[in-house]
Amino acid sequence: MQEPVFSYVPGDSFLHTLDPRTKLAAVMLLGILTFRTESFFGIGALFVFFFALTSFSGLPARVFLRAVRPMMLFIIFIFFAQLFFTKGHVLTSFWILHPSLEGLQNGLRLSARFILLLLFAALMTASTDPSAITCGIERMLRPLPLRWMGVNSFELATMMNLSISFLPILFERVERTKAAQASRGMYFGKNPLRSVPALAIPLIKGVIRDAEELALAMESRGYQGTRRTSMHELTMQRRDWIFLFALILFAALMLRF
Amino acid sequence: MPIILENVSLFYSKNTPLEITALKDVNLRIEKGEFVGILGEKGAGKSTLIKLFNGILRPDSGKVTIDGLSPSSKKVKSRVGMVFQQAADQLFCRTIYDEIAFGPLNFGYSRKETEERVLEALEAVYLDRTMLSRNPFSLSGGEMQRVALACALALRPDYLVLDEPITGIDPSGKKEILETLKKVKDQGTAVITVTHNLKGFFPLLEKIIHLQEGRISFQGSRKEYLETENVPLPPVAAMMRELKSRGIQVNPAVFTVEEALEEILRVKSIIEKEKAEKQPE
Amino acid sequence: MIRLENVSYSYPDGKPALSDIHMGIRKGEYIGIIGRNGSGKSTLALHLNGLLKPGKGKVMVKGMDTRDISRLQEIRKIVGIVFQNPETQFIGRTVEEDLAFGPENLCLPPEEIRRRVERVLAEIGLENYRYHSPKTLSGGQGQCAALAGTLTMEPECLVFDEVTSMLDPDSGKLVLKHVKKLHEKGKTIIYITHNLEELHDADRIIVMDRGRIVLEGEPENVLSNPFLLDLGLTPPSLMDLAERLKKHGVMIPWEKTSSPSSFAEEICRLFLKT
Repeated sequence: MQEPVFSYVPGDSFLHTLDPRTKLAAVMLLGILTFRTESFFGIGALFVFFFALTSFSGLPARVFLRAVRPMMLFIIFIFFAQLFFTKGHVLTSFWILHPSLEGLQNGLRLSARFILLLLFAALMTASTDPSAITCGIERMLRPLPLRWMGVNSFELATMMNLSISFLPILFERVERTKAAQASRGMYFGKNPLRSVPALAIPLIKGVIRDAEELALAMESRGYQGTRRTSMHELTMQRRDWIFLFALILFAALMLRF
Repeated sequence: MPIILENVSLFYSKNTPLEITALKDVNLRIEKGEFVGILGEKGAGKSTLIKLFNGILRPDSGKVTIDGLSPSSKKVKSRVGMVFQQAADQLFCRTIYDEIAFGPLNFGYSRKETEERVLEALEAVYLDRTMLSRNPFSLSGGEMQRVALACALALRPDYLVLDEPITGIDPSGKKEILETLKKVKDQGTAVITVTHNLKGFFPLLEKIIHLQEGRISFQGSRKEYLETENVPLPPVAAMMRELKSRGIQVNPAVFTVEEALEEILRVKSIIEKEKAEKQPE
Repeated sequence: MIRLENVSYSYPDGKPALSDIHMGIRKGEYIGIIGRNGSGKSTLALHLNGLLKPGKGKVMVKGMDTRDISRLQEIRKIVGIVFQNPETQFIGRTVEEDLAFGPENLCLPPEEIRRRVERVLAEIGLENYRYHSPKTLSGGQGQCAALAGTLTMEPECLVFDEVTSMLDPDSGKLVLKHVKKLHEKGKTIIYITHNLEELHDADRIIVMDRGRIVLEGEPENVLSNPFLLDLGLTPPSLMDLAERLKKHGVMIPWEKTSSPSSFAEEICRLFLKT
């Protein structure tokens, strides 16, 4: 079976035992840091920091490579777009392309940032039970006055969960319908007036049916969209505070230089 | 001319660590007019296999030919009709007429020709002409599946390929679909179906292909299949095989209730005769 | 335990789905419900824990009326439903999370939720799939996980709504094995199907057609009733064979028609005895 890109690897390392809220805050902080860091020295420091963190996770490197690989094409594209379309000192010219020094720097910087973001996110998702992440987000949102918007943090968390788990079903539906209509001689390029409804109508009807079935299953298991508990007990422990403190210290240092 | 697969292999997510072998070294030949059952567990590659027949999927290695042509050529597409498991995944028109006409119109047949084909297909699936103006979504599951079948038949295919056509359909709906398929086959169209409903399909199958982890583990006639070890059997056949293995001399290649009854009674009379002969001693 | 009194229900478009259903379900009973598509059996299932409310009449679960919204949560704790399509009844992204969904809604304390998840994972044999996405499970395991998601609510009564109709026979048998085990543990079982072969273990079978109960009784009598053929329901083939053998003086008792091997064993016993 196919392993998902961002997947949880159970364990009991230091990172695994941190509170999901700590890790969420850390990822946000590191994300901001990544995009505020201009110098290559700073970016290098962040990579070093990442590798230091992985040693606290007890996770194999392939977990992180898995997160970066599907985005590689996009990252390479960004790199070359920057390289060729940034104006500046032209390094060398061939054909109509004029890669510039600034372009090279921008390209490296931007692709390194994306890779860093993916790596930090992968580190969190690999060391945190997905349901604990949702639970953590729910807790962080709870003090916000969401009631004004007509939702509560419990609903928001459940909605988030559902939309993530529903995507694969949707893709499968698209594939199934595409195959079925192609077998009836439909060509997508040729006649969009005919082919768009042939795809969209079964898809929409199917999704509505799925949603109805899902709603019944949820209601049957006691879901009311109100207060619920979680199988995870979230308590900030001393290690969480120490970790956050260390991180803030690191961030302050980084921003200073 | 038949459907021929030579050394066909197909992988999903090829050249990545997630690579999955869907089919491996598959060789098969399906003649026109045959009724073929493709059996195997979930994930054995059945659905992948049939998608090769009309070019929805292409093999990574090996060769697929239909009547000597490549399955992705347009000529072949209309020769191979496909019906997938969930009819609701493909129905989208406001009337059943439009639904069945969608295929022929896509292949560029005239209005008149299309109408002829729609009526013919409708009759083949035992649906009434008065239904033509009805909305396909107002139908029951079994009727929807028959409309999907009509959509494929309207292309007058030489090969009709189906993926679990009677799964999730109630017994009376199943019977109607099986009857339709039998008629289609009798008119000279090859019917190739993926199924795990042995009880329903077994009496119709002439040839059986059993897939296991992407490989063909059995390919042959129904009679040969009944004599093969380690394959799923319909309940009566399983019972007859059990009898044979317990030392009762029945013919195990029997799968209908009528035949089994006859076989058991035949053996019973032999055993009784033997007993009667022994007793005087 | 559950009582339906004169229950009628019409779809929003006015088509009647259930008319005047009267039935009682005792604690610990194993009831099979059969009927064609559209005979109302799934609509009936949705009434059993208040997912649908009767248009006329009432449904009582342990003395609580399903129309009483304040008791709904309690009713759903007692009656759990496993649905036909495993894909659309998973809410969690991992099996573990999905199992926790029900008890979380019941606002149980975290340690109690974890205890239940642990126990049910072991009971259904899903320990190795704890962190798998339920969608990557095979059909049979998927349906077992759906059952597990209901079991963490610790219901007294389980309703199975055509749970095997999308599965291959072996996966179907796996699910049925769990159903049987749960019944032996004292759970009340309501098993809805159109595969008559699956109802061998039921205490009582109810046949529905066009929203009404048309036949009711012990499986032995109901499954051999020729009336089923009029409804398009074919009897299990081994039972059919046993019925026909009976006319020729070969008596295969009902219990032995449940599997090919028990059937063959019985014939051997009859034929080879000296």
